[in-house]
Amino acid sequence: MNAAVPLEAPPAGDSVPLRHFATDIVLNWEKAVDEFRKWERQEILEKQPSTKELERHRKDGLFIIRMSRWLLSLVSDPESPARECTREVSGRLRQLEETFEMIHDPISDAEAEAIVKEAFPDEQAVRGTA
Amino acid sequence: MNKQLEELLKAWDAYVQAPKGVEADRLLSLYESTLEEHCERSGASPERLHTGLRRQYWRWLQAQKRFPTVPPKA
Repeated sequence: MNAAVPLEAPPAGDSVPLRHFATDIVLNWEKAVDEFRKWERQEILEKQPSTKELERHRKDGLFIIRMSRWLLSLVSDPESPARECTREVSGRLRQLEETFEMIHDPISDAEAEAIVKEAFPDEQAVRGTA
Repeated sequence: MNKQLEELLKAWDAYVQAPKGVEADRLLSLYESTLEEHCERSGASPERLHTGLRRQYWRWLQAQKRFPTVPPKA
C-alpha cells in the first residue's frame, strides 16, 4: 500500500484520537484510489473500453475526484491533525483529474494526430485503435 | 518514432503511473518542462500540444499492449 500517513507522534497540541480518526480516513481513501487507478489502468487505458465501461469510469471517477477534493480541504485546514498529508492528497488528486480529462476529452483521434504532426512534422502518427 | 515525441510520451506515462502524490507532482513538473522546451523550439502551443499528446499517449499505450516489442534474438 502507498501509505502517505507518517506514523510518528502527532505534533504538539494535536489530539491523538482525532489524529487517528483523520489518518484512518486518509488511509481508506488511499486504498480506494489505488483500487480505482488499478482498474482504470487495466480496463480503460490498456484496453479499448466499451461505452458502458467509459460511462462507469466517468461516474466512479467523478465521485472519487469529489471525495479527494473534500479530503484535501479537510487535511489542508491549518487546524487539521493530518495536515502533513496535504501534498500527498493534492498530488494524487491532480493525477486523478489529469487522467480523467485525458480519457473524457472529446477530441478525436484525427484532431490529436493533426496537433502532434504540426509539432513533430517528421513524425508518423501513432495509429489509433478507436 | 521521433525521439523527442517518445521522450514526452514516456514522461507522461511516468506521471500517470506514479504511485504516490508527491512523486507524481515531481514527474508532472518534469513532463511540463520537457513539453515547454519542445514548444519553445517548435513554436507550438503547450496547451494544444498537451491535449494532442494525451490522446496520442492513450493510443500509444493500447498499441504497446497489443503489439509489445519482442526483444531481438541473441
